[in-house]
Amino acid sequence: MTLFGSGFLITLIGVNICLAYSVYPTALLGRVSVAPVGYMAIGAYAAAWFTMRGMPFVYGLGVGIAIAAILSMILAVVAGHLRSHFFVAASLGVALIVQQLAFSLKDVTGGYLGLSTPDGIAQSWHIWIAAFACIVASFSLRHSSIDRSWRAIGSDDAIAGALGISVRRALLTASLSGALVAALAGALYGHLIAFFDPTSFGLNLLLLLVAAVVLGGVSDWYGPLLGAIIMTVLPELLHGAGPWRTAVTGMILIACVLFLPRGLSDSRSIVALSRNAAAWMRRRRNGA
Amino acid sequence: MRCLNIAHAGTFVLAALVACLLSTSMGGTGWSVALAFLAAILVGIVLNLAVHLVALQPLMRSRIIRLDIEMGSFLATLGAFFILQTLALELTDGMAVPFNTISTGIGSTTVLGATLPLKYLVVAVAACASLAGVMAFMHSPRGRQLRATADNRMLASVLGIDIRAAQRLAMALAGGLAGLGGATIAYLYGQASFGLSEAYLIKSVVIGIVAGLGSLGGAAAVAIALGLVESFTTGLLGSSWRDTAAFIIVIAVLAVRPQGLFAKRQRLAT
Repeated sequence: MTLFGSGFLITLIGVNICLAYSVYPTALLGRVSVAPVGYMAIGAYAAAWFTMRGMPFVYGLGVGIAIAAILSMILAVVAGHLRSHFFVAASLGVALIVQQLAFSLKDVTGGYLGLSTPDGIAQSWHIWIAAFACIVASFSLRHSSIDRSWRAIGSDDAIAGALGISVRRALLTASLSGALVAALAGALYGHLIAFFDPTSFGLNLLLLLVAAVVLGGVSDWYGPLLGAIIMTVLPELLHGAGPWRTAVTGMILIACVLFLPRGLSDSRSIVALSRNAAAWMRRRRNGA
Repeated sequence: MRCLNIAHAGTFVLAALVACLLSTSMGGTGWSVALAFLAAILVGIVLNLAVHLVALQPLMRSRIIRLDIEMGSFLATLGAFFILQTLALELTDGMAVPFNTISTGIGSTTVLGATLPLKYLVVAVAACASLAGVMAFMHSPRGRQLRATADNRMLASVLGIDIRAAQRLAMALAGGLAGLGGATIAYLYGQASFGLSEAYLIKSVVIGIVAGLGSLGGAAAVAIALGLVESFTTGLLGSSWRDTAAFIIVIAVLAVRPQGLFAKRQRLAT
């Protein structure tokens, strides 16, 4: 299995789709979170701890999901009243604390040396089933009462609360479902790449996640799906696996914030973009 | 400017690397160290202006923007940070670059009975001088325009302040200080590597959030406090717990006082 061969790229797309969908529930509430990177690390380390000692994968998966769930509830309770970049900063704190703990708790995580997970436990189709489940769930919940009430919170906490929507319960549910998906993806990812260390769940993964969510947007169910696929495939196409991959991702993120602030899934923002581009070209022509 | 510039850490590290490369190629005499500091400040100004031109200025002028300016600047400069980090990686191939001070002949001195390398004194003077300089600048007419722009852009432009010039000035000033800081760190440690950027990204977010954006004295106080907290956790628990402690403080501050410890209360509508 070559790490960046086309076969592995397919697996990687599945992992990134899961990761992008783990941000989707809280992003609907107007709170983009990067904490799923940390939940993913928790899932990976917990699952690896069990399988490396000859115990079944599902035990580790359960433990990983439980720890990630507790952490996500703490984040929701402590920082739930925040929005926008304040919530991003708090969730960044969670992600980086997890990474630092992965460096420090050498007995469990191997620290800088990383872990080699046993082969043949997780298959590529496992991650695709998880990704497919995320897609189906977000598709079938679109326009449901949950979806509507969460989007109401996303536009205004106070008004949604006045309409009788429990902001606290929505926050807890959203954080928990995100943590569950992320920890599951992490557990599978840890076994699929066969070797990982704390930097596998560091800033580069975080950038990919943010870029995927901003590019795709959360205006409709397919936003994270589009974002994750594009952000996994495009850097590979442009520069192979070289170091410029990261720079390309960064450029895409800037371009998205400037020109597509609501992402590809929002038809209005695409219409606005094309209208602006047309106006710009007209100005160019007239000015010249 | 009500912007959280994540790319600042990238500017900082690139300036530090340029200072190292220059000092090494010029033999480490006193003049070459001074030149390296100057070059780092210049690099910082240029890079920050580039970030401003590419990411922040279009963001503020954009008519289709539906993200608030804080979130937008956070995301756009996060993208810029990774571009700068890639540049730093390419510049040095990921290696640490030494800062050559061999022939400056700076020895050590005795302060209050403790023997200190004179280096530390240089660094402390640089830090105090830049803080005093910025504080003095903020009370000059230019600085007042800058603060007015940060406070309320619309009102500032009504009063005849060229807000774009003020924003450029703010970014250039920040870039110069980042360059100075980068060179100082390289000088202090005797080397720099591109890996510094992640550590300083964390530090800048921690200080920005805990102090609150736009509070100069608060940022300085929190920077000193962060240094103390880091030293104490390193001493008591080991170096790997340093950032964990810092982030627990960040989350606690966000939970209790999201606008930061030293910032004025935020207006609801701007």
